[in-house]
Amino acid sequence: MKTAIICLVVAACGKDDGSTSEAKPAEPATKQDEPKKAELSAARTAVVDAWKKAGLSATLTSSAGFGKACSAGTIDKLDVVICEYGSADEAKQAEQPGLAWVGSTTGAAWAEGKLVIAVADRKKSDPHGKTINQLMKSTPK
Amino acid sequence: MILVAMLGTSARAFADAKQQVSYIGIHPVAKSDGGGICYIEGPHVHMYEADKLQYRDHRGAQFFVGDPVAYGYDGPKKAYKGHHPIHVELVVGTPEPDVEFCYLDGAHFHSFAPPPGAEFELAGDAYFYVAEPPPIYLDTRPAFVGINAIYTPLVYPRPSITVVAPIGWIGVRAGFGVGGGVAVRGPAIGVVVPGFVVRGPKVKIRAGIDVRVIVPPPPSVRINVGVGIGIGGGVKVKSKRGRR
Repeated sequence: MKTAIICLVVAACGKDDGSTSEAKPAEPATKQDEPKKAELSAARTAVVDAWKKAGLSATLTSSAGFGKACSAGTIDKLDVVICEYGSADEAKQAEQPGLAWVGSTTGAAWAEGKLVIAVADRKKSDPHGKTINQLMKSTPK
Repeated sequence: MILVAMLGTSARAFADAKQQVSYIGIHPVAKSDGGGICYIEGPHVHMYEADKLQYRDHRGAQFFVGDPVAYGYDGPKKAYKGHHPIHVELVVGTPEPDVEFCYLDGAHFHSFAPPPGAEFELAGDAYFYVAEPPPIYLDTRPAFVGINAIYTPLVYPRPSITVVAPIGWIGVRAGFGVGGGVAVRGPAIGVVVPGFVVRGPKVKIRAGIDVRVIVPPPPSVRINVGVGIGIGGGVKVKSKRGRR
């Protein structure tokens, strides 16, 4: 009986040591549809850093997008995707898929070197485009 | 007839589009989307259409050639008087040259300055187009001059230009002298045009072209054959609220 109580106490203490299920998710159990966590390349990191430096709140959390190497998330309340291509020409050609990703809302998709950046205001949070403009202007050339 | 057709187009302006419409540069937001100004300077898309009078096509994107202040624009602005070219590629930073004409009569604002050079003369903080207009200016004027029907009734802070118009200004050039907003007054002359000749029997003043001849009782300004009016000199540009 004593042993059983000690075991329970140890288990409870183990849960209170600061680790959470969010911080350390139980292994795999990943769904196939669930997008992978974003892995930012140096180029994409540089863009995000520039946005943050400009005062924008950037959070890229998934790899969903319209290309193979993409990072997706939000800038303030705007949806944003950065996709990386092998060349600037390929990136330029990917502007159209980027606009398709924007869909039926205000947005933009443009190539910047080997990157294509697409932003969509699906929540109508930027009615005068000031955040989108800031985002476009603060993107490194 | 053309004007009626254009106004019809204008009335349909800002209707919801079923597909993306490409824009470049700042422009008014459709009323259906809340109105005001869209401040996105680069290429972008909206789900509403642009009208045919306030926009020009620039490489497949709609470029706004009207006065953004009329829609609440609060950014940097430059005052212009009368018709003038716009070097769109310099405004939006695209490589291919694209010169479009603004057919707004009288004083108005744009968010951009013209390129340095002999085309424009800056007088009293306002830009005046003083170069020889190319044939395309006259060719396309009938199609676009209807833009003034949109702006004339709008009440917003327009530039008040009280300055001697430079020699060669398009507002007084032979064959081009419409749309200048020439105000000929007695003692309080608004815009005084050196060498501007007002001929009594041949004066044609049509509504909507902003030509105002205001003659106060005494002292009288005699508008006769061959009267050249060249008084003035106060250089002053200020913003005034109200209709043109």
